[in-house]
Amino acid sequence: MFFSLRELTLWLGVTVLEVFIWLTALLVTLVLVVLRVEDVTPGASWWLVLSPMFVADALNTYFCVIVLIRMYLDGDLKPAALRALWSFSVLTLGFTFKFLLCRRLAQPGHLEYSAVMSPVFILLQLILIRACHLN
Amino acid sequence: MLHRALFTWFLLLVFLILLALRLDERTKWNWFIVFIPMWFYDAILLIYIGIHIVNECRLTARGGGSGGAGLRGGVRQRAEAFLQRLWPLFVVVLKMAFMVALCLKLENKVSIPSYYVLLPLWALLAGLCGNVLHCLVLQHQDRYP
Repeated sequence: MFFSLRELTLWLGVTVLEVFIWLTALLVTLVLVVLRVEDVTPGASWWLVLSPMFVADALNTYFCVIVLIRMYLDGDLKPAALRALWSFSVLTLGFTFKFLLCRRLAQPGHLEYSAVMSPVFILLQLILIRACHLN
Repeated sequence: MLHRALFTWFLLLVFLILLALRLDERTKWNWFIVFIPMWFYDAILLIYIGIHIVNECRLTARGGGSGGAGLRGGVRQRAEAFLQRLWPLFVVVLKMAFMVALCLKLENKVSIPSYYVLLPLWALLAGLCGNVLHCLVLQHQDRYP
């Protein structure tokens, strides 16, 4: 397509496994969203509906820690630190966005959507910096 | 790749700004207008994919005359190559179908259930999951043959 999987992983600084976990979690979340919106499960809270995304974040964090430890044991200190810094920044911003979104959906009128989306805008700036490093 | 990345990044930024403005009800724009950056991106994608398909078909037609060994294997390979060429087209068409259904639903033009709106996106995500899993398995086989 416009980008190959290899180009995307290079640009976004993630591995294929992380992409797979994220896509699977998104698919499950969207099924749960439809069940919630169509009142099949009216009692389910939005925290429960978005729980697959939080589980995916936890799995990706675990994977990043393992990669960090293995790179550290191999003696690649600087690349390990840079990779960990990038991965944890992305995961933290993603988690903050989902957390704020859940709060907004659970308590309408509590937060503005521009505030909810602010972590995504910060993430976009970081992605722009990475794009400028591409050749 | 840098130009493609910057182009994608810019359109995504504009779309997210429009989305935030519309969700906060600072504007009352039609949802189809909010999605204009995505329509533009999909149009560019369709042109890009179309050019690629035509180029590959021309290359295949040129090289198709030489070599007649393994007819059954050749037919299978061609079918696989054809599906691989059509896959990006399916992705864009499913994405566009989802966006049209979503805009219609949000504008209250037609009362369609949410599962019909999300059906193209589910199909798209399932296909992408399968594709990424396939790449993951190939990567594993290369590393541990």
